[in-house]
Amino acid sequence: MFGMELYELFNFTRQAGLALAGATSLWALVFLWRARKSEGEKKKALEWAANRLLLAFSVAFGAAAFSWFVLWNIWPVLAHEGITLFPSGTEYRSAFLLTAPLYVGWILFTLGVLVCRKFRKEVFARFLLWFYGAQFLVVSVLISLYAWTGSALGGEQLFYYFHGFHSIFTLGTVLTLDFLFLSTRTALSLQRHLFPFFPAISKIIFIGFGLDFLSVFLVFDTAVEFSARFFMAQTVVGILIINGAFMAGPLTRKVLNGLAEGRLLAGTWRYIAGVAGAVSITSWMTITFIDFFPRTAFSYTQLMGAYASVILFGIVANFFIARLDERHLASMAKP
Amino acid sequence: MGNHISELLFALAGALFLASAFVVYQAQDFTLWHFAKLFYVVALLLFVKYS
Repeated sequence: MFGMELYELFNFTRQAGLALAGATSLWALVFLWRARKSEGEKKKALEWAANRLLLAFSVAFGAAAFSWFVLWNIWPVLAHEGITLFPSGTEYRSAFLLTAPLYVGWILFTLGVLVCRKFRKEVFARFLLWFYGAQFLVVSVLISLYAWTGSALGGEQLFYYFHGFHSIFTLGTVLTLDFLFLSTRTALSLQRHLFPFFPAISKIIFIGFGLDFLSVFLVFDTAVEFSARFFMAQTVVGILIINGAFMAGPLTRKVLNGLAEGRLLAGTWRYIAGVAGAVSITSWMTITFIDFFPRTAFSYTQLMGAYASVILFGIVANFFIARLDERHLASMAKP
Repeated sequence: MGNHISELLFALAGALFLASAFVVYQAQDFTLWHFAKLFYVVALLLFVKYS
């Protein structure tokens, strides 16, 4: 439909799931590592964040594992593509076969550990750092091997490694950041200890982007085509960078200055943050989404229309969340 | 001061990218697009150091 194949859709959901699973593991690992060197309220806040991220990790793991199972069932009848500019159906399928044993091991191990956690929470808590560490390593391999050309160190294959892995730093980390922002939006004490990490997290997001930019030079001669999809991706990239400069700069300063004075972000700045957040998350999802649908039949106007509509929806949703938060905080302030 | 300049340069990299996308689409010329990418990398390095 619209030039899209079913396997491309599940390839996208698998990649998005892996990106979030990898990013939650990475940042939970960082928080737990820093918690070991911290004390008191800060230590508790960091440990809380690492445990909280297990929820986002579980959802991401579920999405990736489910998509992988679906691909397992539909791929044999779809392996007929011969596209050269993008990973072909054959290259996707080769990677699928190559990583299948690792996927099976990863899914069984993670499911087993998550089930065991229900019964032995104390034991799980003791090994949480190792759990996230192992997850980050395995997911990094799986996400980097989404296409396989047959030549481990060839230019195209190196591009696929970078292009796959950068999603952990970009899409996955943006989703993790938004998840933490939403989880702590009315908790001043948690924000005070977690938000100072946000500038560093923002930098990692844009370093991930830089890695992808540089890797494109490896395949530029064969991997770029003039299309509405390409033009759309470049437009969104430009918007992302401008929006990112605003979020990582003035907005972060405003938030951190407020927290230093014991205030949560409120009023106009709260809404501005919502708009910037909606632009950010929609843009990252958009460029990842169109990445996996090389033959989409949508025009530039249609793609931009859909993109703007999702942003608008995000802004409206955020408006209502902000109103609910204000009411919640007002009711808490009443004697 | 350094952080403001590096943030501005970073935003400028985004604007350059937008402009280069239009040039690529209209004239099928990648020169500005390549420059925008390199400018992004330099702006990013300054942003990471000073912001």
